[in-house]
Amino acid sequence: MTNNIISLVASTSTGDKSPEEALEALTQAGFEWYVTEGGALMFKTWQIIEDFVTPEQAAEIRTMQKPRTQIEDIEWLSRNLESVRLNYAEQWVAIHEERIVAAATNLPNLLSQISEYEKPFITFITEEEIVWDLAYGN
Amino acid sequence: METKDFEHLINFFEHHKPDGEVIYLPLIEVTVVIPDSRTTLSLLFDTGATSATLRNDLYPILGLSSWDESGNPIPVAGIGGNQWAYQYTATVEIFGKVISSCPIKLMQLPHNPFYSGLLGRDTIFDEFGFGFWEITKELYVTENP
Repeated sequence: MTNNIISLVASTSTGDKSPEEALEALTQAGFEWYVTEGGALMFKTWQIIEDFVTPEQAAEIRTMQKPRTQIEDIEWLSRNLESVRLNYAEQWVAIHEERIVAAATNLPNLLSQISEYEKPFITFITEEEIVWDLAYGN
Repeated sequence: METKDFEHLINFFEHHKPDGEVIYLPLIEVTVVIPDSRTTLSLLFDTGATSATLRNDLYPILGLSSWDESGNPIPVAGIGGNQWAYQYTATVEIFGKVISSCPIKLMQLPHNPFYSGLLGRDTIFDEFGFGFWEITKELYVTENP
């Protein structure tokens, strides 16, 4: 799969495909991509090596893996809260790897758009004044 | 002198308001598991909340068609006065522990962009021990209370 993608990207240099077509193909294939200011193309891909370890070793290694947390996405929202409120007021948003990956006016619609993301941070962006102090009523 | 050991340290989340005030929030990730989906939410650690409590508009995460689907309102002391809540149960994951049949209330809470509800005591707190250090903005957690 990765070799196919590299061939596809290389075909832009021969004029067979435009860069826009190659990027569209990357998007459709589910690759996250980024073009640097210098014009380089970066994209993320998983390489799968079967039978790398035994199932027993896998169980041990998996306990050492650091699971993804949402804190980076919450901190991103904190830094960008004012602009997010301007652009997404009264909407549900999902944030993943420090970008908004989906928005919707209702939660079921949002949930239907984010199944591919691991632990996206989900929140509702209110246009009302944010309540920071909590105290229980009488 | 009694001592306690903790395996997890949660630093309070820090939000800088435009007016310069800094808000510190002890936020905990909680994954709500229903047969068709898993949704991870950020909840505010709250020893004053009787049980885990989500804002009422999050009912789809529990697989409900409305927040008052149970039809059995429970009176609770809420923010701004007494309110009604509706209680359900779900499986939740916290710090890698799976807790089944965890009571979760839905009630009207103010919207806050950084959390979806309150992490309260019922059932969940039986599974953990907590050490709360306000001065250093740290929450210590043990899975072996």
